[in-house]
Amino acid sequence: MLTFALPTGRSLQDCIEILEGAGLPVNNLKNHGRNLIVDEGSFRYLLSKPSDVPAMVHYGAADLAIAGNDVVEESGISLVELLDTGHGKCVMAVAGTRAIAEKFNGNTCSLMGLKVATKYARIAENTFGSWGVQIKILRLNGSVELAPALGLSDCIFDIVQTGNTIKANGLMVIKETAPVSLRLLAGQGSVRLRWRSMFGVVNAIENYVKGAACA
Amino acid sequence: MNKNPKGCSNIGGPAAAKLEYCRNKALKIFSAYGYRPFSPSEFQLIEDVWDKLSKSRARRLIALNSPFGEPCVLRGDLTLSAVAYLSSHYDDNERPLRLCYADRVFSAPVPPRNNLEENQVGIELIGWEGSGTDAEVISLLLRTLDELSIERSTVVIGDMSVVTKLFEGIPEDRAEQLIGALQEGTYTTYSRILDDTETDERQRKLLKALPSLKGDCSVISEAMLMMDDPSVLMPLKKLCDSLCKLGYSNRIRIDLGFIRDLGYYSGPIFNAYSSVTASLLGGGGRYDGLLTKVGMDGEASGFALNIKELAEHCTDGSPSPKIMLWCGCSDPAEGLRYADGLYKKGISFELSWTADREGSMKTAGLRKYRFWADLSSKKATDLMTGQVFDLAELDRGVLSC
Repeated sequence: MLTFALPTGRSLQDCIEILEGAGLPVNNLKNHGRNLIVDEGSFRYLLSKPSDVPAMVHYGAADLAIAGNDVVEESGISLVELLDTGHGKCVMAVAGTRAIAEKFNGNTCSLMGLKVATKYARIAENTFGSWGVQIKILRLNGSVELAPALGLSDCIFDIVQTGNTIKANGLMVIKETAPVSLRLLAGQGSVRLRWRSMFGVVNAIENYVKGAACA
Repeated sequence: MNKNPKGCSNIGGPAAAKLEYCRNKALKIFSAYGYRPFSPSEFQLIEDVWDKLSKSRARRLIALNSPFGEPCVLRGDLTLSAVAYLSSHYDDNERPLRLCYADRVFSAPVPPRNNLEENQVGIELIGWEGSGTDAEVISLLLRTLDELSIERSTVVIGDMSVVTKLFEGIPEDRAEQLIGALQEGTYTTYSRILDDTETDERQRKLLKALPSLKGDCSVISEAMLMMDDPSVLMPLKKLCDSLCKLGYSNRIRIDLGFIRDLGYYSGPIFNAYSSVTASLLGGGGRYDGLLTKVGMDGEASGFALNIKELAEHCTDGSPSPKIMLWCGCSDPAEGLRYADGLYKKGISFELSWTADREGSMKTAGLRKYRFWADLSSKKATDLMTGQVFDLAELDRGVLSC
């Protein structure tokens, strides 16, 4: 039996679409109700909070997982990224007011000590750090767009899909820093020990993803 | 109560006993195979280690200044210590040298872990020994796991010399990026970089397949068919054949895209995993290149196992004392003489000197000892059944069993 860790919330629908497209059984998964462990055919699906998915794989509770690369990078957990599904596409970006955007047009000195609200503290630190900029991080778990309006931060660092929420809160995307999408993942140990049993599934998902991209 | 620094822990109770059991058992096996103990310094000079490790590994070293003003790191790798020691303390004609150790290594943790220190037990085989070196080291690793009753474990083998050969002809910076992506396990990045790299179709096909060349020993033959010069895989094939002949075919997996992050490996490399939880138990490999860096010629291979992981997966454990010997109303010399007799019979025990008879028996119960013996009345109590009998009977019957 192969076990998948899947994120609950809005990514789950994308995950079901990918698994179904690859020919995996998903009827019970579609109607999982309050069940967080769903057995279907020779598969088991574990449904967990998106930020917990990398740990599920790392600790061996799941062989494979589908999760956003933003979540994986933020966790800092080293997993094997087998495939970019191309689903759930968005970007990691810095957003702020027009006045702050001006600062980003100048040299990086003007960005030193910038107050950045984010739920991605690790990625923010690494990204700004790679520009030689030290920042003050305000870690929030949601509604990050509120922070500049309340004077808590100069800008935000978050994933942006349509940009509507950003605009609605009087902010603009200043800099896109990395593409984000749902990735097919495996644990370092599992992939080495159970590759032959994973291979067929990984191949099926890859074929579906490639086919979907061509269509 | 003293609070430990974050990332550090005190280990006591049954967990400590199990660690000690695994450590001692592993060292005993190594010793039987002719490996001699080595105890390296916990401080290393930065200049001695920095350029011998990969960048990612070197960045995790914990640096500090010694009270003598020398820039040091807390020992982050035992192999480096062993090689440095051997290069300056032994002549060429004294090789091969077999060393074993059980010690701590220190490094900045990688999430989700936060431990700064790790207990390792391992071996190093240094010097010219021919093709048997790798087989000896890997079979000894499997033997150690067997002895610790961790039979449900698998050793995954790759080969750095094969990886190097496969990337021949690709610009150095590109090859470095591709190898880096393989090491990190970001196959999507690997695939993207490969798509942007100029190479002939045959090499591209092989490199594209590299991350999926995993599985049992048949993977080697599969890869050989894809290569212009399959001879590069022959040493790995021979190594696997030897291990299969020893009956380990079910416990070996091949991963031709496997790269260890220490940065000094140059031949067969391997990791040992629990087959149940897929957690990493340890690993090692061939590091001839590291010898060259310290001015030595020859072959070298070794491995280190994480003792804490071994203890967590090991179902055996050191036997706890069977008997509490109450000497509260006896002459200490009489108690110690009786204890000496038990020791000579190989029976583990604990002495109790308190005058509180009931308290002593209660403590024995709490510690889950089987027997409590009163040396003054020469009576023993079976703490499981409550049966009381003569100490001589216990001595003759139960304990001699």
